[in-house]
Amino acid sequence: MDITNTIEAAGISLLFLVLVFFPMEKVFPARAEQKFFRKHWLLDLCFFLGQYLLWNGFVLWALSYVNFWLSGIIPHDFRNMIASESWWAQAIEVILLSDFLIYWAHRLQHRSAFLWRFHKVHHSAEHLDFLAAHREHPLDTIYTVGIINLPALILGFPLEAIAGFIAFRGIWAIYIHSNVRLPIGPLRMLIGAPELHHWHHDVKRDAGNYANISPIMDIIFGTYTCPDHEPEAFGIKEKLPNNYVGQLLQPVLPTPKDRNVKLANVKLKM
Amino acid sequence: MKTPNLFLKIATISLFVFLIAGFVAYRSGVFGEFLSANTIATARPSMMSLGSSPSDSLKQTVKKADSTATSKPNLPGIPESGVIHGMERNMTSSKSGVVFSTKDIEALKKGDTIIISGKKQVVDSAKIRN
Ligand SMILES: [Zn+2]
Repeated sequence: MDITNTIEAAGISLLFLVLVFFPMEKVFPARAEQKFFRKHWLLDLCFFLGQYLLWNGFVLWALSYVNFWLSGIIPHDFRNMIASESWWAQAIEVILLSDFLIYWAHRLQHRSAFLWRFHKVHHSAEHLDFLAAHREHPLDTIYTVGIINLPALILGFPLEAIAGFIAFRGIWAIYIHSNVRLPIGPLRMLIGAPELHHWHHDVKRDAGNYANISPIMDIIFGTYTCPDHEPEAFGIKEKLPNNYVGQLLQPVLPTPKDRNVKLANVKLKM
Repeated sequence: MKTPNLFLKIATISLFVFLIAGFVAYRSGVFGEFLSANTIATARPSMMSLGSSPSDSLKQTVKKADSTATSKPNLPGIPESGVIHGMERNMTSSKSGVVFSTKDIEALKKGDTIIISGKKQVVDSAKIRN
């Protein structure tokens, strides 16, 4: 791995993101009082750098492994059958299936106590902006990335065919976290908007809007919400350390409650 | 900040749309190239770094047969992958080294050169299964 290239890529990406989102957050702020260097911006910068410098390779490695494992178990006849379909049919299948899967997988992240341990790191951000979009536990990233790509991997669909769509979805995922309020009318039903995703980060958990980008799944399954104002506060009720290492470790370490349960078991056995 | 005027608003939105469109166009090329070489992809922002990225370490395993003599082998633990010479399509190989895929396999001919785990191998048609 060429470390210089990696550092350069992280630098260029950060510069580009600032160029894209700084003017938007200044001209169309969701919270006008929020400063660019707001509380915990350094923590989110650590997550950004961590993703680019440490975890991307790990996530891709995990994805390659899933791909390798899948290619061994998916019948070739099935993939041949899919490959014989028209390009458009395949692209639509892949996009709809990933949207469907990631929607339910995301709901599960909020429902399952185990998955929430990791996903709560992302939700712990009390200030939303383009940088806060990067606050994500690496294992949470592997889960999301794995699920979102699963349909394409199973169907054997060449994702390069929809690279433009994937690139758009990637940057839009950052945009919907930005400190922007720019109502785009009915278009938000199709491509999503910060005003929707901000409600997903409401401190009162489970407000809705679980869909990845397009709120179509939220509309279908009744979790679409679009109040005309911003939530009062973002974040989570649970306590989480306010430093990078602490946020990475807390989900994998046993909670004091777990320890008590284990202790109780030991006592019972005795 | 005071309420921005209309001109500033339009200029900001134009810049935003222009940069997003530029990004998508740029990534379609670079990212598409990476995807076609690796057959794995992601829609996460973390994978959308500009220019080179950690993914380049994976990309190094995907090179034309001519240049493999000096190219790095796969990273430890990364599933074996191969490239059909001249086609630059990634293939996944089974443990026994048999290459299999859906479409591209049909284009393989006896004597073609492929790379498996950084090692140059010549296709023996008897080994190919579809
Ligand atoms: Zn969530």
